Amino acid sequence: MCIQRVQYAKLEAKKVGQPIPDGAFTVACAEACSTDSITFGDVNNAKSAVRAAKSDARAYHLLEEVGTQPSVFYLTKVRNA
Amino acid sequence: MHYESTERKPLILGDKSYHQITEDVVRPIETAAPRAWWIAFSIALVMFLWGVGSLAYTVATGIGVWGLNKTVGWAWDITNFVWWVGIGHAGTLISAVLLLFRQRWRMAINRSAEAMTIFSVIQAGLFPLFHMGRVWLAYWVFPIPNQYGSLWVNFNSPLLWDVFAISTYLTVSVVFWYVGLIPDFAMVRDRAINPVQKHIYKILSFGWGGKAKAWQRFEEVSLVLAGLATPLVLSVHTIVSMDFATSVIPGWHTTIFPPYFVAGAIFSGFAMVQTLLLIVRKVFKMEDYITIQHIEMMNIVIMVTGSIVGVAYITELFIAWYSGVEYEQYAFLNRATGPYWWAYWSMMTCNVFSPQLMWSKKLRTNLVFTFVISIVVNIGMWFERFVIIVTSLHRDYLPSSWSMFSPSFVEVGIFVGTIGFFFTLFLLYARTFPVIAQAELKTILKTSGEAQKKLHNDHGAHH
Repeated sequence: MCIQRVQYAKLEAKKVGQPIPDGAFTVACAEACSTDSITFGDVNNAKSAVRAAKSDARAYHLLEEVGTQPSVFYLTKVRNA
Repeated sequence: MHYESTERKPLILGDKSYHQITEDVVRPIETAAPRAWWIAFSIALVMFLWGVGSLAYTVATGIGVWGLNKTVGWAWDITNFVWWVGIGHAGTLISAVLLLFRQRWRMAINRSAEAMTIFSVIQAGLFPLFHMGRVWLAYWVFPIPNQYGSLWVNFNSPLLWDVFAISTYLTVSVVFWYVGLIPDFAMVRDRAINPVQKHIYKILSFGWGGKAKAWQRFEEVSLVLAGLATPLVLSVHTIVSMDFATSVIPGWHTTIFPPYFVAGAIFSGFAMVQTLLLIVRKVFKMEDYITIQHIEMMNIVIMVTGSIVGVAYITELFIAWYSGVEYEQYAFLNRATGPYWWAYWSMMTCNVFSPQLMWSKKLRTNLVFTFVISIVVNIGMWFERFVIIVTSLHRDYLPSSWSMFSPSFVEVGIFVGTIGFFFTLFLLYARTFPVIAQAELKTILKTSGEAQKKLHNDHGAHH
């Protein structure tokens, strides 16, 4: 995912010596998306927006049963159940 | 001195002296090439040049000129890679494992088998190299310290293990082959009349003098190298199989892969040795050294390894059903009855059915039959890799991304080119290298030569 952007942000953070705060960095597709359909962040950070999305009951992985635990996950459609 | 039972068939036929062996082995090097050699060499060279053209087109335009698509991202390139690496295995088995087991029949065939190993590993290496697209960055596959930021190899990837396995294999095979060649090059050097030829063989033979101490070291180093090469027979194709087995694709993700691939590799390798040696013995009149018994032994190995491969195929089918995993079951149903059913049944016929005919002694000692089967086996083993790779990939988990694969003329050209390259190398080898390890063969003349055995027998009867 945007390897140049990610690498640059990591190196900048290293120079400063501080972790990147949630929301300070994002990938190009997420930045361009006006409806927030794509969220990028650190799932290991308990306070991040992406972690909140992951904890949502709607979160799922594609082919979850295969067990590869990919870093991309989706939220199911909101249905009027 | 060691005497061999007369029950054992002689390994060298006719009344041969040491000098006669030298004459027979060196003849192809010292005499002009026959017309058949030139015809074969021209055909091989044309095929090779076609391959060079196809590769040049691939590099210049990009691998989009192949028939690959989003779903089938690996097809002929990896099929051909595995096929060529597999062929190489018989050489190492013959030279290393049979040496450790003291199987003396290997002495007539090991030189050509090792040559075949090296030439086929070279062909194999071309495929991953050119699949990279940007061939000039190929050194990125090695863990070289660099300042490119995050550029580093992934040690979790079996493709990296492949890099180490194949390069180790090629190195050990070349060293082993070359060490064995030293006394034989010295023999050619000592006989050479042409000063240029003499000089070349002088360099190649590293100033071999033939002292007792040199022979003793030669024997020792051969044994050490055999010990080093033996694990490679098992490890190289195990790692090749892990390219598939460590992924999650149904039909690939199975624990049977390593032994199944190793057996298949030895199976196809022996078939290729058989093809090459049947030609060599006929063209160079080596029937007294590569006897029917040698051919029969190799046919037995083909039969046994072919049966192991057959058991593996059936085990795979059984486990697919027994596992209860729908994806796995569909993968195998699709192999046998899907759009690539013809590839699956070609594989089954060539690899499982045809070697079973070798149970008949009459058939396995028949040269024409053996030659046909040796080619059929390699066709079958090519189909095996095609079936494993393409039929597993083209229909995996998501039906929305199912597709078909057919090769472009460029891929066909590259494959034909590697066959041409292989035979170009082998034909050049056959005219410039002693095709039989004559120094080694001479060590068994007194015990396993036909006339010498007979003499000892008659002499023994008087006591």
